[in-house]
Amino acid sequence: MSIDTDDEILQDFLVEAGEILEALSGQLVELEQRPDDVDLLNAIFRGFHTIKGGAGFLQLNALVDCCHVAENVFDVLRKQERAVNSDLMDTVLTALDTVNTMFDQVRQGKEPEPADPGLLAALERLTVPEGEEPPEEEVASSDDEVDHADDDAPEEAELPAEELEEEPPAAEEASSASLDSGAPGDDITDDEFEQLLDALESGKKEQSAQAAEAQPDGDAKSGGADDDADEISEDEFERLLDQLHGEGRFDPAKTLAGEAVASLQDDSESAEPSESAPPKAETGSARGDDDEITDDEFEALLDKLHGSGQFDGGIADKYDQETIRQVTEAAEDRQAERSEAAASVEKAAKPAADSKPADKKPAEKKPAEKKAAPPASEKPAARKPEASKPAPAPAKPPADPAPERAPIQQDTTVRVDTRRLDDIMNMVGELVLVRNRLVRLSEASGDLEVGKAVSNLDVVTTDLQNSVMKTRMQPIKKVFGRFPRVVRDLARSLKKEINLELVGEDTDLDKNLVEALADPLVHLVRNSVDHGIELPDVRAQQGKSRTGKVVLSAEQEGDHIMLSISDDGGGMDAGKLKELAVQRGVMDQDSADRLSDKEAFNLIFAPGFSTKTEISDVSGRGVGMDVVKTKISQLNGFIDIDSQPGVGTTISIKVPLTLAIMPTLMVTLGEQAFALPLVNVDEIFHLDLTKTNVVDNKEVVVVRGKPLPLFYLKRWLIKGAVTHGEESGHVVVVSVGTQKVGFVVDQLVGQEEVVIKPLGKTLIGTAGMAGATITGDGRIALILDVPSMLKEYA
Amino acid sequence: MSIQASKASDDDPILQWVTFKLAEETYGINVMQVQEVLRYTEIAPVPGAPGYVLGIINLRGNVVTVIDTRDRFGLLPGEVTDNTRIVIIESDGQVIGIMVDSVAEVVYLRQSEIETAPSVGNDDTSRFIQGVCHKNDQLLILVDLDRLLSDDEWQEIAEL
Repeated sequence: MSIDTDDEILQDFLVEAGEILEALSGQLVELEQRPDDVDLLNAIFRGFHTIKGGAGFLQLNALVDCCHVAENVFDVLRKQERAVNSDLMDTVLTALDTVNTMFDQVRQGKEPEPADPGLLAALERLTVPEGEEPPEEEVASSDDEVDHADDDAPEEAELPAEELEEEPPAAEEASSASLDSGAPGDDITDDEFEQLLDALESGKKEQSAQAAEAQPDGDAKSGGADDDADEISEDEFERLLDQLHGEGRFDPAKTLAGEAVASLQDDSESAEPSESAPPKAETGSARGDDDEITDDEFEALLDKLHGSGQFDGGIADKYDQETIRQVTEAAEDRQAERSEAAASVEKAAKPAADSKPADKKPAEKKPAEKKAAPPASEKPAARKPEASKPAPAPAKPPADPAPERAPIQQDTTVRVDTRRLDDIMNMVGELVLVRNRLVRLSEASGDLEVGKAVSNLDVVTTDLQNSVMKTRMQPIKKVFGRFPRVVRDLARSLKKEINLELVGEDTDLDKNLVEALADPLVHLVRNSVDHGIELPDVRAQQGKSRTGKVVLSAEQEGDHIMLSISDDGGGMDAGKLKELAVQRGVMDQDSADRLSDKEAFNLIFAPGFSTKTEISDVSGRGVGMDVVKTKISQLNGFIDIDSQPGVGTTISIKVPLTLAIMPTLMVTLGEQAFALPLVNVDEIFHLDLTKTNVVDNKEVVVVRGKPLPLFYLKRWLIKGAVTHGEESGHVVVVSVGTQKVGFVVDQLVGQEEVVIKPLGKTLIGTAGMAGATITGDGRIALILDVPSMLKEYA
Repeated sequence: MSIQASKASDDDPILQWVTFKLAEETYGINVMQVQEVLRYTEIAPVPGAPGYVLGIINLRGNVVTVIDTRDRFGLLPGEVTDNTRIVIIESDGQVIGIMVDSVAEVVYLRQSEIETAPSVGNDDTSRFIQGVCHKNDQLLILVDLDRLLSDDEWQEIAEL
């Protein structure tokens, strides 16, 4: 089966799951630091669960299987039946990698390849609680609780009977899985749902202990019902527990329902053991597609409720809120397309179609049937049909203001195609150009009124430009997020102890830049870990702490972003670098001796230069730094390195905030205008051209005691230009890396912010040209790419 | 073929062609590929660009590459006159300007009136020729822009 990548549902899934996967890798590493963090465990569990749900909906079975086992592992973890250790983390991280690989395959429109059975088996082993207890005991214990829930039991028995008649296929399937009672999964869904609603209601209203008391009963019941249930009920039950946990978490912090909540939580805790019975049964049993749809829908409902419950609680922890919003959005989408999807999901075929209506029908019937139920459950039952509507459907019980706020919360963010943003950006660019033009015209005309209007326009345009640019901004966290994992894996494989510190994760920069920076940064961090930080024993000998530290920081500095990667490792020895440079034939002994320390450090950016004598799979081929440097200069950025032997190395990168607009120095050569990126420009001065010297057939001028090679841009860039006989000229000193050269130009126009327009297909890649722009007077100026121009012409 | 019928006559569609002149010959390009026709404006040369690229122009805020059609067809460079036009065409997703001596008119041709090009002369240049049409004692050379602008062709030309 090939995957239709145009499918909207799939696209939504890709976006959401992509974000979740990104978050997961960070969370997993974090988990290793704080293995007992229940919130974190829950978040990870939910992450896998959400991906599984989405993948299941899209029939990506390989993905489902892998996520499913991973999810089970975390289920065991959060129930504290197993402790987090590095072996477990290794397995789980491998699982995450596998999921990522599959995810990429899906993104490319391919059917994901099934996960390595060995990995699945390894995960499977981890789903068994430590000190493995026989499941029967737990079932028994939950049976006790069922007794406790006598009141609800008869009613529960009624419903299955109803549904058995209604949907034979589902019932058949369920009964084949469950032996003791004929309760199909869907039925349990409803019951659990009721319980959940009970829980929510009671939690929210912060009613007396009585309400909370009714709660345990309900939960025990569903716990009992789980005994022989198949997978759906297990998942749903988990959701329910999540729910209860969630409630428990939010409420006590702010409200006074301490007692009620405590009992709620106790209850969920006590109900948990019963949950571990189903996992085993479930992993063995095949998963029907119908289950999944039910599952999804159910999740959607729950999430919605969860969401509103949360806002009610008022102190949502940020991540949860984020996740829930995403999931809720997904749920909405799914629900909106539910009927359509039901038809299109071929495999799910009949059972799916059957089970779906079944899922809703009982819900609608409930209010009538449930007359006998405890009063607390009445309201939730009435609410359910509402909640199951596609829209957020704010239910409005007077005591519950939350749902009204929930939709507002959802509307605060909008997903926008980046292409659309690029278009807007482009148009704003045009506007900037028109503004520039008007500014010039008004200066020329000297009309005061026009001048006022233009300066107003000037301000507005600048604001608009900034706002639009902000929409494209993303926190650098997106890149930084992957580093904990990278460092952890590397440190483990290199047997080093390393602490990674992230500073300024919230610094915003252009989306394109965020993406473009990822690879160079990964490389630099790997370098720091591999070359920089010493082995623990070595560190101890040198009187450092055994654990090395790598700090990755970002901060905004004017219209630039400063990124730095510093380690407290061995540092670099300038002398050694020079020696190596001579050995590798990068330069001769004399010129090596003349290098300053800083220049020597910069040698590592030269192609083919590696200080490691052994090549590892991590680094040492001497290709990387060269590539890093090229990449950074492509972004109009700078890279600088500083090191002290024995103390550490700091690599700093300076990149502009955005790629779309570039500050330049406009110069003219003959009639034509050219723009030199301002990042490259060091200084400008007027020069008496007769006072130049010729060294090695190249013109050189001495500036502050240092020789500066001089080039006539006109000779390079203008055909048939005559450049002899001029007595004076303007020199623009540009720096490329550590090298400085002077360009002689005809005229300096001034500093101008330009919008970079890419050259057409036929011209792209022309040496020395970074693009073109349109000047204030509507003419075209070519933007020069100084490094590539030097390479081509010098 | 990217040619679209302007009138749907099933077996013999009528096609519209924009005709232009280059060194006394009349050429035609499919009207569907023509975006607009501009008077000659200042073309900014791009240093280091291939010889057939005259430079770039500012087309209402967009940078458009202009190629020298004379150079492309192996003709001698001509002079810029009042009649010189830049035809903005769209081919294979890219917008490009071609400089021609003058633009004449739009003609309607039936598919059946188009004959295959006589295989004389340079094989390579005749590749851009989609066909010819003899009408009103005039020979109209129909240009296949997609081929004219495709990278492979450029490559071959560059190697000649």
